[in-house]
Amino acid sequence: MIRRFFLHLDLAFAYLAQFMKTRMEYKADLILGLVTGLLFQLITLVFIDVLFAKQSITINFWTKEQILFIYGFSIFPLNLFFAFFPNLYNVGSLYIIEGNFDRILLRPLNSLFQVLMEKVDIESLIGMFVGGAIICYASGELQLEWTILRLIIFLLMIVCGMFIYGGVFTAVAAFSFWWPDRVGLMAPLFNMITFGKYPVTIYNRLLQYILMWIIPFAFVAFFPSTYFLNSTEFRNYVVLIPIVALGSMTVGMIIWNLGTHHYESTGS
Amino acid sequence: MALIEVENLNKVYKNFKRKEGLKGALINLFYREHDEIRAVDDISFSINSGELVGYIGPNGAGKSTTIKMLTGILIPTSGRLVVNNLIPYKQRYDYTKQIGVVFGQRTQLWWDIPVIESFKLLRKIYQIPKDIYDDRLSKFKDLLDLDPILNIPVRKLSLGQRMRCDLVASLLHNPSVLFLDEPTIGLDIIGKLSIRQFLEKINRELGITIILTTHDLKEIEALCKRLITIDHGKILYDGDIDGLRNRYTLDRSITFQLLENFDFDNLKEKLNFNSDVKLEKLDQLRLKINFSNESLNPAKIIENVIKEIEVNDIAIEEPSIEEIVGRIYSERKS
Repeated sequence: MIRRFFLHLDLAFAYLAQFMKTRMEYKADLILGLVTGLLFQLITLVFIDVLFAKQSITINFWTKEQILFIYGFSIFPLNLFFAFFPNLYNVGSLYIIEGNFDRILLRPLNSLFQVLMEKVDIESLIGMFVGGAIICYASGELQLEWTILRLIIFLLMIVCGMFIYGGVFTAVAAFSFWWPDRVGLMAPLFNMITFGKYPVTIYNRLLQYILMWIIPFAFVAFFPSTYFLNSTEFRNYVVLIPIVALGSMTVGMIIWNLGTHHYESTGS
Repeated sequence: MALIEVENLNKVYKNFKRKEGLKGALINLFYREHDEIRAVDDISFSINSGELVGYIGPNGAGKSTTIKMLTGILIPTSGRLVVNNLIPYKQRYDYTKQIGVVFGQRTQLWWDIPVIESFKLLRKIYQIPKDIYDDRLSKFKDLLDLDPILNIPVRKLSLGQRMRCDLVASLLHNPSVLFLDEPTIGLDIIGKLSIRQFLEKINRELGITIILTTHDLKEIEALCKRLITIDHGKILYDGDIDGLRNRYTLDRSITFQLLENFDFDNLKEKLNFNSDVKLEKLDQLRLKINFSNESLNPAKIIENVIKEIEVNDIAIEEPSIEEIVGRIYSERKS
């Protein structure tokens, strides 16, 4: 079991190296991807500026700067997720309907691992610059202090956030094993991500419940942010973040494994 | 004990009937009817270590479904399937290390990187020791003439080159069984021949058990001693190729090229064969005799004809394996 884990860890780097070689095969494509990625992020920054600049309102006891901080924080786990889990979007079409999952099953490696490793979207990491800029600005306005410990907790939490998204979307992707569909539930759930970018307290009770205990996107950005915003109100939830991340990924993998038993391949 | 044991194996697909239109789509959400398709219907066979078996059947016969169950991709609906003491879909990690699989229709190599990089990654995946890897690669490289193409990305290879690389990729980890699903589909005659020779060699020298599906019956004839024929999910024939010939006796024929014009009716009367033997006058100088194996042997016919008339040349026509298999398929349908 442990040996298998280290084999996969070792192979993760081998796959990544392989993937980078592929990207280098199309150098122009890579450069263009990076440039458009950067441009997109600049536009996002301008948009946020317009959205927040003229208002000095507080929403539901949250000040403009606090909301901005949460928004900035949410960019980190989301872009990590976009960078390392983009292939989940292709599971229904490329792997199940078109039968490429055959190849995955023929190798002595975890099937989810292989699917994730076959595509990495490095450009998405650029988005974190925007998140960083927003957090720096908001921290300045709010006079938040950053220590080494806080930085480590920050890194840990954004990785947890990535796995919360990862687990939820692994489960959603796995549903395609039962109901082969090109996009399916992916799109509506993608829209749910937006809810996680704002304080969960602004939503009605039902939505709050869903965002906390069913599709736990509140644990991705909002709860971790409250820690850095020195709010003690949600302390109990902050402690739960790693457990929610582990639970999300575990549930995702269990559903995935059940799903693979329903894989029916394609005709010849 | 046999290497591959298949007993009463079944695979049933449930096919949902989709209703048309928007209203139909809505109904489909809540209520679905389905048909059952029996792709593999209660088949049994066993294959010993070192065999080279051809697995044939028309499109949609259940060939690929069988291969996919044997390789662990599909889970059987019912029945027993054991290869080398492992249950393919249950013990996937251990099992996939022991088999090699090549699908003619799609490559298993990484599309955008040079072939050699794919091989290196496979070495890591299968944890092949460096010296063994080097040894095997250099051997296969020579056999299949891969040197000039190892540094080319897979997408730039021709079909024949890609196929050769796929074959090597499937063999690097020293599998005991090799499954090939239409390995020579779309290849030219030289490509086919090179792969055929290679398969023969690894089967003979390395003792790798090979199971191959194909539509090219000449390939089966050249390579395989044993043949399993499947149609509509059921096994129609399992045995050697000569046995197939004998079981499905077709008419054979001998054509005589004569030295001089002949009187057909007169000759027919003189020869006086039994009614199973049919004589036919092709033209002034050619006589064709159709007969089946059971009625008379060819030597007897030739002997009789030569006694009666002067013959310049003799041609004996055997039914091809294609004709035999074609007949099996059409018999099933009727």
